[in-house]
Amino acid sequence: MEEIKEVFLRLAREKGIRYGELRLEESEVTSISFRGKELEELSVSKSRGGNIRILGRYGWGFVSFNDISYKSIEDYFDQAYRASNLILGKDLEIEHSGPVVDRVIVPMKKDFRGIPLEEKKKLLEEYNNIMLSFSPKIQSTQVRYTDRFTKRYFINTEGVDVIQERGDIAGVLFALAKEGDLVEQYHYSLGGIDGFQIIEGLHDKALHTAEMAVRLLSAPVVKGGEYTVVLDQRLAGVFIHEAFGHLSEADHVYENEKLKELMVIGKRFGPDFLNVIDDPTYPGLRGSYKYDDEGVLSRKTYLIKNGILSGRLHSRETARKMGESVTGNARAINYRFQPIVRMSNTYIEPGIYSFEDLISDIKYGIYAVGAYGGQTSMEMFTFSAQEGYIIENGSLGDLVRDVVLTGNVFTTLQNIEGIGNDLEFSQGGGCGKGGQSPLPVSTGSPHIRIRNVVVGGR
Amino acid sequence: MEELLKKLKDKSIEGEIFFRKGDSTLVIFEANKLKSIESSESSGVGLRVIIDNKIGYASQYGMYEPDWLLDKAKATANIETKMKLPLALDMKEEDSSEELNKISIEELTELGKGVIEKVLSSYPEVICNVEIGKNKGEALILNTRGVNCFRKKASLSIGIHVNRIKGTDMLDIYEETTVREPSRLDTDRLLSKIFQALDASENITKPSRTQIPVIFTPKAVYVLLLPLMSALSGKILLMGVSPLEDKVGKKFFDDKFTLIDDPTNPDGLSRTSFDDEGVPTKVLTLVDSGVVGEFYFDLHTASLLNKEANGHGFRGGLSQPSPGLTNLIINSGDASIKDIISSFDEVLVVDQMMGVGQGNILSGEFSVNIHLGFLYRKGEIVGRVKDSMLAGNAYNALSNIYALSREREWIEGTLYTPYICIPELTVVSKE
Repeated sequence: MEEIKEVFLRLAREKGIRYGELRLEESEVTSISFRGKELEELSVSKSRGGNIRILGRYGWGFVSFNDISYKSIEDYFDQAYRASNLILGKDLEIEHSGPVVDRVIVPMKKDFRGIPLEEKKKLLEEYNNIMLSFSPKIQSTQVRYTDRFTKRYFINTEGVDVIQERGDIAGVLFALAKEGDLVEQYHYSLGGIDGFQIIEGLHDKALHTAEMAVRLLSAPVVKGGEYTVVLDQRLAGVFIHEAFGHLSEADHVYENEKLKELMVIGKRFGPDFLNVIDDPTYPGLRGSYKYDDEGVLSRKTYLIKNGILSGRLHSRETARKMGESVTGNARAINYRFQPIVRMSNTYIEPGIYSFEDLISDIKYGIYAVGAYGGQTSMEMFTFSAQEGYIIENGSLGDLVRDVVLTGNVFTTLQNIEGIGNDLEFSQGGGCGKGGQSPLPVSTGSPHIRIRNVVVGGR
Repeated sequence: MEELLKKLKDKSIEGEIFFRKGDSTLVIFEANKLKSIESSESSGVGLRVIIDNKIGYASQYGMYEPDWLLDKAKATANIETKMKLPLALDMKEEDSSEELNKISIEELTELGKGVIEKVLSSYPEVICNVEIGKNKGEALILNTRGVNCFRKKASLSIGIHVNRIKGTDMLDIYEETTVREPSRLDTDRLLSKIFQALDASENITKPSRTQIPVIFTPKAVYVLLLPLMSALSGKILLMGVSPLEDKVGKKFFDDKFTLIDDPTNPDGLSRTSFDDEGVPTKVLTLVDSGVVGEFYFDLHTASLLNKEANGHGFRGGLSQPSPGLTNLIINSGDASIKDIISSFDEVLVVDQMMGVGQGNILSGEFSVNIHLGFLYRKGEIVGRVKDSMLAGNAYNALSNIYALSREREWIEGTLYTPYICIPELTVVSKE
């Protein structure tokens, strides 16, 4: 690797480029899955690749590749250099960060690389068997597990020379229940970067997953309408990721004058008690990292403070263009992609209410629990729950299914009525943007309550 | 690859080598101007072995270490199977046009500039993003029983995104097309759709009632198809959770509805005569005038179900084969889309949605935000419908179709579909 770095830096000097990056990446992946009682997948893979990105006067040239050698690096450099010079237009400037040499190794309590395949398989099989034997109504299951160890080398022409290593685990327990023609499903997803122990001891989760799949068989579809809703931590985390997180990504805003006016720092978006944060420095979460994929040191950013827009997420380019500081949020899912502005660990700060406080004075509403996912178009967004409960006169009532909620950024955040005191992070999710998915992120929130939320339904 | 094949044969291990290579160029315009030019080269190899009726699998991107692959494939051989690798099939398929190969980065750049100029000359207030991609790919499948299949493909794609903001009202319109022959890239067709949507979105409106006829544009049809695509997969059949399992040979859908998967369609991007396991592909009639037809399988899934493989084992990247579809074709109807719209006092035409696929797909239930939808009254467009949810059940909807349009369009080069009109679905809007 040292020799390849030398070649890159020599070429950069010879061509006198303004700014350039070289990234090399090695990874090793183990995947195991069960589908029903069958073992569906047991495989290992290795990958090595890299990219070169060069800033021309007016734009970027980018080349990604698998072939890493002296000779090939010269060719790829030349390709990226030529591409960067084909772009004409307005001058493009970026923020600079100082030189840094560092090596970051995320420690794992229990390193999954030392655990035999057989042992990993056996543990997953235990969860699978718990779900399969829960009830005759459990028709099938899926248990999926992937561990990935990645080593990333990054150097740039400003003297950044950083190696980052980490292990990432993602998994899901999935149960399908069937009665007549009706098939219902439930899942529990998880992930983490601090070792194999995070997937140990999930026997209760497996039991709960199977139980919920069966219970949903007898739950009616929610009736569409406008409701006061209480979201659990998982769904509220997805909610804030979709409702506001994406709009905080400066690449949506920096070239759009009208959106800049709407997203001006100091503008009110929510009630005084709403605080929203993105923090890659939060220890031990899947969205945590020390340097982003432009070699910028990461930091905590308040997106909303006391209801007021107070910051946004940047790359070197968007920060420069908007005259704001870099935040270290330029990320790429792997070496095949250019870094773009992404979230890390995004969460709502805890408030003062208990769950009981939040539901106690609701005459008729919905408690929405768990998350299938969400999507945003900036102004409008959706987020879907795994299960819902009718709230009637302050108490939880019947289970309902297919609860999908929608909101509008200019009204829904203002309609947040209360924030709980029970912050939790979920780490099973991946974020998609610009064709790059899934990026490991985490979302967090306490229980929250929102009025006038549109819920779809027949 | 021959070396690895020889190692397998020497050790009398039944095995299959899958080699994949890609080469792409992407020209990206952001906020009306050229922003970056990307190129990518990739290559990798996957090895599948069958030892004592157990499958093992290992793969590598960016390196090729035959001994590592063989060791790891053997070490992972745990998956019980009844499959046998297919016997000798020797095929070469070169599905990439000369004309496409010759297109330069400069020409792609000019194409993008031209599109943006056309947009801005009519709508100077909008922001336009354009991505143009040229993709080339090769796949080679070799096995110890004599399969030697090679496929080469190339395509050209353009995606156009237009954003307009008025006050706090945001409008985003997306159109894309992917073709094999550059001469078939019709950007004017995409632009005319975008311009029509821009004009129609000047006014925001709401349906007068919650139960209303809905027309899905070709772009929106996936929300109705996803449950079927899933339910007809051999994997879902194997799990015993396919709602269509006991409907085979029975009329379950509207008799106006026919759906086939056609690997031979000359216009479909997924045209191929063999799948990623070296099995000859077959045209599958998934639904025939409402009657449920065939499921689709890879070799392993078919073997577990004691079914014949039907040439539908495909891979994403270097992952193991799984049941996959090629070119989905829905039959057209008799009426023009204009006539269908005009036949209602009030009808919602849905074009873009958010939240598709997030939920229990198998059950057919959908509940999506109408990201881009238009209300028509007596054939005249009234305005855009937003802040609203559309909900229904895809199986019910396709069992009661009001009409399919005469016009059909290709979506992402792999779905050829008419507009589909459902007589009644539920729309909930903000008060």
